[in-house]
Amino acid sequence: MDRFVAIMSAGVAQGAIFALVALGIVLLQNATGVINFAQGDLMTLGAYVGFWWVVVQGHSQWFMFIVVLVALFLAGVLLERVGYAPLRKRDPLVVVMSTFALGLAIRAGIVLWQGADPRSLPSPFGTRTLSVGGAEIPYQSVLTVVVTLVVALSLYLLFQHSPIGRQVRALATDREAALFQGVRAGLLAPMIFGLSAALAGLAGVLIAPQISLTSTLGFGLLLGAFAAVLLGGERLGGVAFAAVLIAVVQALLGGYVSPNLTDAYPFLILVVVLAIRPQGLVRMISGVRY
Amino acid sequence: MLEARDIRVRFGGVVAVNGVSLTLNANEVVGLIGPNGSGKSTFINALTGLVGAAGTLELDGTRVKLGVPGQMSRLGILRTYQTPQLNDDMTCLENVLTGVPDWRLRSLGASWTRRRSMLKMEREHLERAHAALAFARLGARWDQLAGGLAYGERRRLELARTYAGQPRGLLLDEPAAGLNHVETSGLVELLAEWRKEPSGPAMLIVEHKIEFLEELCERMIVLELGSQIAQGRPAEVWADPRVIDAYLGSVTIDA
Amino acid sequence: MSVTDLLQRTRLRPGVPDGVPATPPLRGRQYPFLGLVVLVGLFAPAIMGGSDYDTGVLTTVIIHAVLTLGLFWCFSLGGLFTFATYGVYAAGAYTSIWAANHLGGFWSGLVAATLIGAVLGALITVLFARCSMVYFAIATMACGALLVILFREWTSFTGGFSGQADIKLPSLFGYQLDTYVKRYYLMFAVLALLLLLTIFFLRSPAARDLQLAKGNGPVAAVIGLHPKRAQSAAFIVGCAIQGIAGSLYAHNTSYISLEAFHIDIALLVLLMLLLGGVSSIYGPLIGAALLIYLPEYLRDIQKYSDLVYGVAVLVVVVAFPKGIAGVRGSIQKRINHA
Repeated sequence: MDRFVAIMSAGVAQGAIFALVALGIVLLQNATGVINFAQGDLMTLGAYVGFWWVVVQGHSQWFMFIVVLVALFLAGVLLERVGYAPLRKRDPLVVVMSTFALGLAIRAGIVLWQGADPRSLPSPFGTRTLSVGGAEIPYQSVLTVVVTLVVALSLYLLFQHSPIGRQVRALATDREAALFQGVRAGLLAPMIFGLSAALAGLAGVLIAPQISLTSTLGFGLLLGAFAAVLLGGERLGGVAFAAVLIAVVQALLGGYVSPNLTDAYPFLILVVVLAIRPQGLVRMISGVRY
Repeated sequence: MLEARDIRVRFGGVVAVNGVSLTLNANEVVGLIGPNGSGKSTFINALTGLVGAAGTLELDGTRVKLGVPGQMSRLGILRTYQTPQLNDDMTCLENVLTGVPDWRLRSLGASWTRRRSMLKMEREHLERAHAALAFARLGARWDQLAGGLAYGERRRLELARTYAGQPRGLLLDEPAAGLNHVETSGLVELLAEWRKEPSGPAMLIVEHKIEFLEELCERMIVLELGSQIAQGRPAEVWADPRVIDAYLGSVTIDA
Repeated sequence: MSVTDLLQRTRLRPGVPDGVPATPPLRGRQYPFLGLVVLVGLFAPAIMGGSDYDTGVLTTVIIHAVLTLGLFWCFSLGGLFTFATYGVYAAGAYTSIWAANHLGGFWSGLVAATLIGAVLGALITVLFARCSMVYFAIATMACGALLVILFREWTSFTGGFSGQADIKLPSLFGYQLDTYVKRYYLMFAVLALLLLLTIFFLRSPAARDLQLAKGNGPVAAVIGLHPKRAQSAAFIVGCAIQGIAGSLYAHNTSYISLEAFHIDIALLVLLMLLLGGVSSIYGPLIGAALLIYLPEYLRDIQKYSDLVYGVAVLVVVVAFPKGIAGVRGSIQKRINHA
């Protein structure tokens, strides 16, 4: 039983991380139609910025969150200016290539900045754990889940009840009509890129204390996040739920069936979803069958 | 020859075509008119399989499955589009060559293993394609990229592609849209010329321009909001009060 | 021999008016270029310095050119971008090693690698045919990752990260290709043959139909072509070629480990294709030569190479959509618009 609790809590925490990354992806996709292949690397960047702030510079752990959010927001805006704005009129696949390339550039930049050796970022709670049902759950996991819930709720409120949210939803439903109505996509894009990057950075800094920090940290999670996006039907609520579901299933299968194949499960889910419902789950556009 | 019965097309909650039936006999030219949004283009799209549709479609008695593109072409019914659909990175000749209705040796495998026969076939197709370009008065432009053509020339290139296909029936979707007066007359001439050829196709023409239709059509069908509201000879149709009512304010008058 | 030559040689049938012009050679002078490539290739080892190291670099160029040619088929011809290159490459390499050891030498390895590439390509297109371009790319990314995980766990087949050293050397009619130079010529011959097959395809109606299928899918479907089928065929050929690259790679080294197969290869190959020219058959070779030789000559900045690659793709994509082969055209356009 205690094993079950441990596995479940690890799964939920991991799901929270997936959810943050996936929410960033969905947000961006809804607002701009772009799927950001650098999202995972932005997460890594967030983790490294946190590491730099706390370990290298020796500053406060709690202030780290603010620093990371701001830094990643700026990184997102930069990404938009460099990797998206010049390519707006081109094929979406070209944008995919450019974000993928920029992701590699970020990874390489991180290696140049902090070296390729694995690093570690201590948790603000140290190694304290919470005892639940006989299992020891790290405070960091609890923090992760709490923060994610708060963020998810804020996002929900933001998007249901604010002008920005309305604009994003309009763009997502019918892009052309929204543009005709005067939604300023040009102003919105950098902001949403920034927000999306900040979410990724937050995820990075939340998960970093529980694993070792390498430059490929986030990239490995990218496809898992995509799986959540597709399974969740590209809507904010569905995606968050799907993210947790995937992570929990992954944790359970990893814990009870085969630990070696844990990282394959999100990929398998992705493959299955794309094979069965190529347009994604909820959005079913009646297209030309040929 | 071509018989469509009770064609219905829905997009989500909107009914675009509401049970339209139409017959096209060999050697006939039929006009399909109606105000914007009456479902004319959608009807053509339904017949050629570009959108899903319910109803019956028969060609010479053979049942044609709706919603799957390609069958009509293989049975000799070709179409043109509201905006000319060409590949801008290919030359005029290459664009026309894709329309030649000879499907032998066009696979990837054949390009490796049956080269001799394939090249021989290509030669025959080349002659046909050049003839088609000549028909469309584009003979001199055969090696120019389609992307560099003027709009009127693009229309003619698309027509050349269908000419190369030697169709029995031709579905034309607003062929004169965007053309000026001179170009429109030229197009009418071209189509009339084609009709006079021994293998001239039957035509179903969706159009707004009266002069165009009057010259060519023997029979007209009028659609409004997805349903047929009138049918008959041009003179009858123009005099029909329902047609006048539907069109009030949206007739293209060429002074 | 172009269609022009054929037409001119065999004389048009009587009755055809003189006014019917002959087909021009297709855009780009493909056969002469192939001849040039063969010529340069024959003397390349001598030109680059005869040492084992130099020839080794040359061989790496050839292998990457083959890999990029595979991407050319998938993407430039078939219109389907694939991130799974590194997975198919790995599959080709491991299958080739296994087949060479169990079935009969390098040649059965090569054939097996080609087959496995084709099978993987077919699997991918069948499963994801209905996806849009971006989702298809994501799916291939997942497939590539799954393949590598498969190979990581199936250590009896691949040796995983600890690698495998029992690799058969290629041999031709009993003549063992035991030096770098001999193997170079073998690989170069394979590349030349693949280029020839590509040229054969380009000079055919199938290539035209594919171009229409790629650019105007619904229109092609209505005309009666089968666009998805044509695209799938090109994709399968592309994957088969990537498998061949894997086989060439495997039998050229004495030790192979999973570390060599990383997703960054997909990016590298993309950059090679972009730099060389996305729509040109020259592209893979130019790109591969550039990207393998540049770091060689700029040894000091090698640690920046990944960063440069990432930024370079962005720059090329934004500024030079047609790559080097199209630079002349791009520059001319810019001058005209200035």
